[in-house]
Amino acid sequence: MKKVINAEVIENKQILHDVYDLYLNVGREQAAKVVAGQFLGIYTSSDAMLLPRPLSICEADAASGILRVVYRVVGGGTENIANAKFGDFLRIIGPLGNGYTIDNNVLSFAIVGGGLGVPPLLELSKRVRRAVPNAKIAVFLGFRNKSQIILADDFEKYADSVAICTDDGSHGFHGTVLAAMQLRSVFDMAFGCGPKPMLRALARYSAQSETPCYVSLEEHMACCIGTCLACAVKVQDGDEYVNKRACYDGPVFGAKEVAWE
Amino acid sequence: MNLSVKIAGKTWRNPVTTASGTFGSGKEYAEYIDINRLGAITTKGVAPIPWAGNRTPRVAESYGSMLNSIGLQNPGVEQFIKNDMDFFRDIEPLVIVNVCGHKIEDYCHVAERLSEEDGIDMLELNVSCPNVTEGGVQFGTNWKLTEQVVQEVRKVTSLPLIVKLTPNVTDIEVIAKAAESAGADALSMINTLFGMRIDINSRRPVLGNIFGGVSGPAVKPIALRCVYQVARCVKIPIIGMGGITTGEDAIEFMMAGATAIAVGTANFANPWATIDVLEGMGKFMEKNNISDINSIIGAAL
Ligand SMILES: Cc1cc2nc3c(=O)[nH]c(=O)nc-3n(C[C@H](O)[C@H](O)[C@H](O)COP(=O)(O)OP(=O)(O)OC[C@H]3O[C@@H](n4cnc5c(N)ncnc54)[C@H](O)[C@@H]3O)c2cc1C
Ligand SMILES: Cc1cc2nc3c(=O)[nH]c(=O)nc-3n(C[C@H](O)[C@H](O)[C@H](O)COP(=O)(O)O)c2cc1C
Ligand code: FES
Repeated sequence: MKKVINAEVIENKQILHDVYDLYLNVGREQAAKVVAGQFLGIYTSSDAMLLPRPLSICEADAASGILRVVYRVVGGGTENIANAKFGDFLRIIGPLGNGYTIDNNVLSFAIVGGGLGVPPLLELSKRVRRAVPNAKIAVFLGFRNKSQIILADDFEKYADSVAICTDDGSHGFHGTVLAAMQLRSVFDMAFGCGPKPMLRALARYSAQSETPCYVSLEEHMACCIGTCLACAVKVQDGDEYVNKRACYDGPVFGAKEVAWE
Repeated sequence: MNLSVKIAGKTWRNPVTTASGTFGSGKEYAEYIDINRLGAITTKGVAPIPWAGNRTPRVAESYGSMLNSIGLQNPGVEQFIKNDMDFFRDIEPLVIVNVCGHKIEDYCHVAERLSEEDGIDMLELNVSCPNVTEGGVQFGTNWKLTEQVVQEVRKVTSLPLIVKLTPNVTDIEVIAKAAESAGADALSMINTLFGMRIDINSRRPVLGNIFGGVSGPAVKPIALRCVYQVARCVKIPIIGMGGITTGEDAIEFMMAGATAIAVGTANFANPWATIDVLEGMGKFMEKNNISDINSIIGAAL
């Protein structure tokens, strides 16, 4: 049976002025279940805030039972979570949702992220490297400017190349991740997570180049476990578009299936 | 210790059910809790044909509460039957299907169709959803329309009918009495309160639908007041809901006159909420030497 877990905070450190790097001990059993692209529902310590905050799993270590979550403080819930100290406990549910499926027969991967969509792609890069040791993994990460860059060094461990792109050109490639990606060779498979315009562009690019592509979609959630229908995303099912639940059927969907409108 | 109660001739093993729309059909929560411990399961609203629901964001939070504007997204009665009937026939709690519609004929169509299925114990007529432009709360805020819906549905089904009331009215007693006289077997209350939130950074409403329904612990005093008022003026049983999070909350509703209670938003804050409420009720009874839960129904009236 699935459980609500009291996860001990191992570390919760500020890495940018509004971004935190959280390590949680959820136990080996839970950590071993994680698929890259899944998320946690993290409850705040305040009774005034009822809903779990959906936050992606950035890394999962089955051996130690520790999960990593990288998040930006944008409101009351994430601010509350940012106040958790070493030794505090956070109530969590998860791993939740469907993550990325890695095709072992593919040799060249593009992994494309933007902003706070970048964290889950780290575990994904690790898993791709593990699943296909001789794969070519090209990572493209987009940020507003130099001061917003996160996790760039971590990706170096698994990727053959990590291209950092900034909107204002203050670091790396001046332009979008899609522009950077199109300068490079073709890929056999693409994975994305980030702002909707970025994912839409990635979907269009992969459709044109006939590259199988999977993206993680974000929607406001209440239950996080598939019952309330808050997180509806329009996705193709057979000949028609239907509402699927980002929390339970997703958050990862085939880019081809998503109604991008 | 006796926790069983009776509503419209049906015996509930205990008074705990789930609030419509917060528990799906029970399958997902069955991954977290033993749903067979519940008295009844109340499903999401079901219409004659699929409804797509409102645009997102469909939920927001507020102090001790949440807002939703799901808009009764549902797959339509045929798909609902296909998806869930086998599951319902397998579980022990009573099954209450929440029925919604734009027109009176819609409610009748769904009620009639569900009556052909084996495995459904009661119907709950949702005449109180604030999140759809046609139907829903338009019926429940007008005593004549409430009466008409109940009368017409009464003709097409022999299943016990629960009528779900909205708190967004000037006088809830008028609507309650209209439902009772039209043939309702029980009443449930409250549905959500009409509300909104604004994002002060973007200066826009948070919900895609602008308005939504408020639920959760913050609405409990209002819900209790509704149950208490209605319990004083009708004879049929009441299923109380609105912010119930603990066993004590549930006991409070029963003392206000509810025969059974539903747990809604609390499930989101804690997937174990229904079981916690049930166990909390048992503990309260033990501590206070109450051997039969029926003895506290309406104790505060
Ligand atoms: C599957 C998924 C994975 C995510 N992973 C990450 C991540 O790894 N790192 C990260 O920084 N952020 C992530 N987010 C976004 C994160 O959930 C929100 O920033 C967070 O919930 C905001 O909570 P708050 O209380 O601080 O903000 P408030 O605005 O005060 O929140 C109010 C309510 O709105 C919801 N909400 C607000 N913004 C969002 C949003 N963008 N998406 C979904 N719900 C929102 C909150 O959960 C809460 O219920 C993810 C979202 C989803 C759906
Ligand atoms: C996300 C959500 C969806 C809901 N959907 C329905 C519905 O389909 N039909 C209905 O009659 N009530 C619906 N409701 C109302 C609840 O059943 C309940 O009446 C209300 O939320 C008050 O109880 P609570 O405070 O315990 O949640 C919904 C409530 C929520 C929060
Ligand atoms: S958040 Fe409730 S169904 Fe997805």
